[in-house]
Amino acid sequence: MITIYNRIHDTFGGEMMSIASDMIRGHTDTIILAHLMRNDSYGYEINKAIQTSTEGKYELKEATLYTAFRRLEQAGYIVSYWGDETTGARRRYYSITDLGRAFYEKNRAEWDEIRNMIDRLIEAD
Amino acid sequence: MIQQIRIYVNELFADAPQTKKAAELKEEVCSNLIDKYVDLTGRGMSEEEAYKAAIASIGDIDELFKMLEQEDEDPASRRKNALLVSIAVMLYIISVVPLFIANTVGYDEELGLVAMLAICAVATGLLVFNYMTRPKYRRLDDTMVEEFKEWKQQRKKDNGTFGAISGALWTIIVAIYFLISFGFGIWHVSWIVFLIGIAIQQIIRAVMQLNR
Repeated sequence: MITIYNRIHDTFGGEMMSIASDMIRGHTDTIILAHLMRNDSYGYEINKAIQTSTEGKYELKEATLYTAFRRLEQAGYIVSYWGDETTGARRRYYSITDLGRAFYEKNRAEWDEIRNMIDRLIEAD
Repeated sequence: MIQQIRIYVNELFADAPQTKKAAELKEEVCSNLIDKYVDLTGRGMSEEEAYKAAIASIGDIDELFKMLEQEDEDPASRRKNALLVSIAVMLYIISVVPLFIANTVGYDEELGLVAMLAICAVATGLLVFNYMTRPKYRRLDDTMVEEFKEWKQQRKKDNGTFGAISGALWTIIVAIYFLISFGFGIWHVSWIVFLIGIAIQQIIRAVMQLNR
């Protein structure tokens, strides 16, 4: 299934990283939508942004990324168009729709709620 | 190295369904891998390493192929396909009408022939147009890539056997045709052996399909 491959720079070893990547995996769609909220983008740029903001700890597999794109496109959350690169291969850009924005806001609110809840639950003092 | 990335992606997509969507996906994968490669080499990575890193980042592409296969052929294109074929067949049937009309009304018979050929030309044109514009979608080779390969190989083998058998069959039929015709001088009925030949060929095809 969907695999987020983690480069283990972490001293805590693989276990902690795999829990984190499982959690991130569940939010692939929201992560992509969040990036598209800022501006239209294409596969590699999105993946690179994910890598940069996680300090190189995570990178989506291409296959995961495209599966998510197709899923989001079919649901009407994003639309795609081809760029007009003159050199090399054409890039396929994605753009978020109003429906996608609404979906993003909903996911975002849900996550905020869950995070607050877990924060309270694991509080020791 | 960029050329090598293209070659790699081409091979990866060799077994993908032949749809427009698959072709677009291929182009998208290619451009992103090249972007990655250019980015990595730009940051000082060696060409070899950058190529390997780009290829390694693809992941499990089979999952995507399944998704592509699920997207069925567009119903509108299927309707168009059916309509064009029906019209063409109808035209073929109608094409003999001018001949009869020319005959009965007593006009020039050649005029009827010209009309018939013209109608046939239109019908053939429609069929060719339909074939050229139809997306080449192979619905049969579903699910797994491996299963598909197996099926393709099996079909190739079957086609080979079938071709050999029908080659022999038709040579024998032509021989029989001449033997009967010259031997008994019954040219007016002996052509029937060709019809029998077609029937035998179809039976062989059916038997082979049942065996599989």
